[in-house]
Amino acid sequence: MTDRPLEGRTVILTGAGRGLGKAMAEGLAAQGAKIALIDLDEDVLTAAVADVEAAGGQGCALAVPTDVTDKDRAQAAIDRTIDAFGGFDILINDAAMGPQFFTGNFVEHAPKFWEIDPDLWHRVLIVNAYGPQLMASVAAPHLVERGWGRIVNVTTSLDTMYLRGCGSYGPSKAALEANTRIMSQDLAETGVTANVLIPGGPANTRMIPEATGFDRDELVQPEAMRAPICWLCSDDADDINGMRFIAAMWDESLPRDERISRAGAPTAWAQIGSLAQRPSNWADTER
Amino acid sequence: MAEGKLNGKVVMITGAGRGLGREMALALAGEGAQLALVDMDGEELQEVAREIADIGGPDSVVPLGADVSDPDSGTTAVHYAVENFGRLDVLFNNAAIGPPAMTENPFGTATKFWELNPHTFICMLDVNSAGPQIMAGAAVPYMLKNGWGRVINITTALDAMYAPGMGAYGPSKAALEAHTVVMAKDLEGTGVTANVLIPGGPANTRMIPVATGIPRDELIQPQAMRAPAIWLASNESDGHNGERFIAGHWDRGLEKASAPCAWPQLGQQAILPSSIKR
Repeated sequence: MTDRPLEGRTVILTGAGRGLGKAMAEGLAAQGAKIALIDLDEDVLTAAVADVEAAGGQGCALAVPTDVTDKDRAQAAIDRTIDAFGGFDILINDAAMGPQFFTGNFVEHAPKFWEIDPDLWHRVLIVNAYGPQLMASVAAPHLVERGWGRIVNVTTSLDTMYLRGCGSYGPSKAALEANTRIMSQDLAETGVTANVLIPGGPANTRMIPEATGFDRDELVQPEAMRAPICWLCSDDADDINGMRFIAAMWDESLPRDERISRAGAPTAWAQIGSLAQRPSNWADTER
Repeated sequence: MAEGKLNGKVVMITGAGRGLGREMALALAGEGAQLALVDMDGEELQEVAREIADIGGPDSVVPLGADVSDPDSGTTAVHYAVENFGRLDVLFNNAAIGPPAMTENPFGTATKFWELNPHTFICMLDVNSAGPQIMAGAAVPYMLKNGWGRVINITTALDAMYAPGMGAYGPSKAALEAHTVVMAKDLEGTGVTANVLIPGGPANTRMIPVATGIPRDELIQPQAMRAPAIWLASNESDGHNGERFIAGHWDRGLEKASAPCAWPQLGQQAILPSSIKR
């Protein structure tokens, strides 16, 4: 049991076909979780299922091709997961359209904002900001009813949210970051939590094309996501809500508190505070 | 035409039919600006246009019924304004769908995120985040030709961006805030700037419904937007780029009323390969 602490847990993971999503799926499967792998690309998904089953055992992975921005398909994906595994406990929103859709090399060929096709700018915003909202809104009632659950949203570094040349990639992640903080407040006291996990820098995935010229070894490796995502999905993280964690800063060898304070922070930019004037009868909720 | 700091400047304001947009339009007209007013609601827009005409004369204003979230509609409005006035100097991206689209009382029992109408969530992202990108994308090339211009995005208080119960309102403004930094970087050295202007708290507009029970005089009054809007649209703000200005603090001086856009106070975050410098 100790080497498979996620035995009995079921995960729905979007963007599971490759990159960070696939690395997380393999890590979770190796710890005993069952995984519904969601991706747009069916062929990539089939290959990913084989890799995840190699890590977690035959039958631990299910391919569910889905467009996370399609309401009916999102609901169908959740229903199919419940049919196959009898329920689910964890939603990981990893699916996203990356900077590579705007430019092959955002370092040297950063398109100006007025040169970007409005439809592409919009599409990336919807996939990255609305997709997780849709999946979480379809998933949350099931999790709340069970009284235990996790929503983990993959955003990006706070300063990458305004990195130039990447179109709406950064802004869409700022929206998701803010929405995660909203989710965590709405879920308070339900047994379900909402947190952010980021790699902590450009990662060695297709989002950072070879043309950028980066030394691939200097990028954050997708495998860095495994230890923190497994921990966030474990019972040990029951009291963690509304936090963001940086995978590259996650040091499993440290004691729990040190680990959390080194890699963790509140979601969004809460440390800056309000800067706003409030009417006197403004509900003094946690904001 | 009124004599003032903005003579010769052509300003487009979206969401000009009421609230903060209307107030800024009247203030800028009072300083001699010519105005292209954009809104979805034709009747209110005509009314504001009549008010502006009283201040600056019939040729000082053109009302444009347009949907800023529709690339064709928004872009056409920009091109029409330039055709009409011969130039475009300033764009205020003020149009937004506010919290009342999600809930009657944003400060009462908050609607949970899983209870939200998905369509409304998308519409908020469309209008509040993508709309300013569409309008600025069309307007900025005209400003670059003149070597001078302004993009002013209306966002919200940093903590309102993650206030529960308002659907995509806060997140959509977080996206616009971050995007303003991108705009400012892309415009560096061109004479065109991009900044954020916020009231600095809930304002006395229809975005804060009467059902909230908040005394109206405790809200930020739309008139607070006047002075900073005039300053931002004028040559006096040359060189200010990538900043956020808080109308509610305007009387306390520029330093107290301004901050960098977004959240750079939190420092460099991403671990970068040695070959990248930002």
